[in-house]
Amino acid sequence: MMRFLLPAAGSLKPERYFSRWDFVIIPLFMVLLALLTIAFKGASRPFDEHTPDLLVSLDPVHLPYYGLRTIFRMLIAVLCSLLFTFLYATVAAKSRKAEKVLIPILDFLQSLPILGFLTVTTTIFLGLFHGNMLGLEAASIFAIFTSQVWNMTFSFYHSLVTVPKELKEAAAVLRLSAWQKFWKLEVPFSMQGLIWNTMMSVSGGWFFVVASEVISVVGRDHSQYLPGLGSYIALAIDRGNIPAMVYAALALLLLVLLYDQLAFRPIVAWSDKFKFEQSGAQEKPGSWMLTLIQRSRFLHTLARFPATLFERVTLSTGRGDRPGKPLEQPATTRRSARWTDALWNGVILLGFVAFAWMLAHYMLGPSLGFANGRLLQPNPNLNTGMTPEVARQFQQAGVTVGQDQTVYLSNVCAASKQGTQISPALNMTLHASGVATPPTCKSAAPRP
Amino acid sequence: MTEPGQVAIAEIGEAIGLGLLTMLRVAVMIVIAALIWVPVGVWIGLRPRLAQSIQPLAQFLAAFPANLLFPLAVVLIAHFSLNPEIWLSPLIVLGTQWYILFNVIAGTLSIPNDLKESARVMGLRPWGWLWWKKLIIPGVFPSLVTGGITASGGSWNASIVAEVVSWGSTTLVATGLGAFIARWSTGEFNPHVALGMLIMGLLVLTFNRLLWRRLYRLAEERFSLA
Repeated sequence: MMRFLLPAAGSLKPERYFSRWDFVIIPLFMVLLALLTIAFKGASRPFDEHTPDLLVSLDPVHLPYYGLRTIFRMLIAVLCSLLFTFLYATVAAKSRKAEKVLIPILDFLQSLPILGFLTVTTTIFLGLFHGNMLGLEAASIFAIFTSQVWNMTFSFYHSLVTVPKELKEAAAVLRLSAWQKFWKLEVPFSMQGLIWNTMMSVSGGWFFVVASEVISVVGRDHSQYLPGLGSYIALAIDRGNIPAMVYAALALLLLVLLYDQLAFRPIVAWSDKFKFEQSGAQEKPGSWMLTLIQRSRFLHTLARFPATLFERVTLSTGRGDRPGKPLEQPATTRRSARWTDALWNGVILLGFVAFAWMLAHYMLGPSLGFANGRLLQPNPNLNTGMTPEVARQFQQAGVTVGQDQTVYLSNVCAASKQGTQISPALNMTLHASGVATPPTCKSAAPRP
Repeated sequence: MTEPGQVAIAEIGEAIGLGLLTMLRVAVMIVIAALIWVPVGVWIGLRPRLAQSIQPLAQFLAAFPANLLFPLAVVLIAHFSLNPEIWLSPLIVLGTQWYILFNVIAGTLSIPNDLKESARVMGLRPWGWLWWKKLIIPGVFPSLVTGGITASGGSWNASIVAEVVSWGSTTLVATGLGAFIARWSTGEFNPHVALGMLIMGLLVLTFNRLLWRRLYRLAEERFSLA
């Protein structure tokens, strides 16, 4: 709050637009812009039925460009993850009603193997960006996003929930609006966990980069290799090209070092100020990049407009004399509140039941648990005792029996038209004593 | 086109049983990973300067695709003829152990200096029992729980590729829900995969509700920094 009342520390100094640090910062800035342009140009090429199949070259000369393209994808995925985190976690932490739905969904989604369903999302994104490579790029970015987002959202949500009560009370005493409280208290408090989880996400995302830059597209015989380090690694593994794998590992190491120095290290050093403490530690993290950014006048000039805008918005949300919501809920909730709670729970329950019913309808049905002629589960011998009598019964029901009295499930499958037509004799035999019918088949075949 | 049929009722029970097996595996491996990485994370987190130089190394290790190491595990298990039911288990935390490390480092870094100094003034011996109980565990606990939740979620996910591993002509299988889903994955979504994923999601949900949520409550009530 003090910052709104008192002038900023440097404001009395004569105004300068450049400092000597800008000799480094401005070229760096230009290079960054140029790289982003190159990456975007490459990503937005036309892509339709007549475009030849995309493939990468294992020549290490191309590695810098591939690295750039991959980093570009990861950057967008991280930005999307951050946006999602700020929206989703905040809503879940602020509204008790939303929390009841959002957190279980989060638990559920983070454990699901989304990678297996890339084909579906690829089709959607290709339709969205018709005739352009951006569709493939978006599909790849989406896969990376799904690997990065969960732990960031969890971390932010949990930080928001565990903000110390004393600080919340202080925010109430200072009459901060919800918006002010969010940016002045909650975000700084969550910063440490969010930063390290972002770092973890970026690292964890590499696995998905390798898996998602090679995309199979409906209507094409070969997979598409998007230009990128992930495709390079995938192709190197596929061809068993050891030198290429070594180059790829080196490129990965260099990229990690690069974005650590240029991005994460300055962020960690900067976020040290958000630590919740009164005394300063002797040992503080530092970063040459952060020093450079902080001393550059050029970046200050650039940042002036958005910073002012943000401060304006923050100030305009001020509560003024209006009283805020009480920090502690009153002990006795009003009857109407209880009613809406019950109603909400009812809606959730109804939604869950409807979903479960739909799923059950899709999943459950008669089946012996094998596909047309092909067994998708281990092929057990049903006649475990090798009893001749059992073997004879099966033989009479039309099942091929082995010479040593074995009756394999696959043969039962073949004799029953893949488990769809079970003759009474076969059904009887399946339920006879001494026959080790798998439980799946037993319940599929109706009891005689 | 092969078309796997629908799910028979009995298969649900089978899948739940397999899920409990995988749950046991995930739980044990997360505990082991935590026992290893919590001390390491605390050690790094107490030295911000050192943390800065280790940071890129940790990122590189976490970026290294864990499944590239699976063939090595197959060779080792086959060579020493170990029991795959037990020895395939470490593979499910190979890629997710880093969630614990990164969160513990973040938690340790955010322990207020005031508390560290008062611990020193009180004469708590670093790495002694009281030091852990009064300073480190309360400070790190909330982050550790976040790390634990995300690591276990990722491990469930990884069990699909880690419970059935093959290299050359050797294929090793550990009984569990991951192997169940892997066996039914034929490239297209089918009722059996849906069942496996549903059971997996529900088990994770139950696990999070019963265990992690309570730990969070504990973190909020007993181990708050303020």
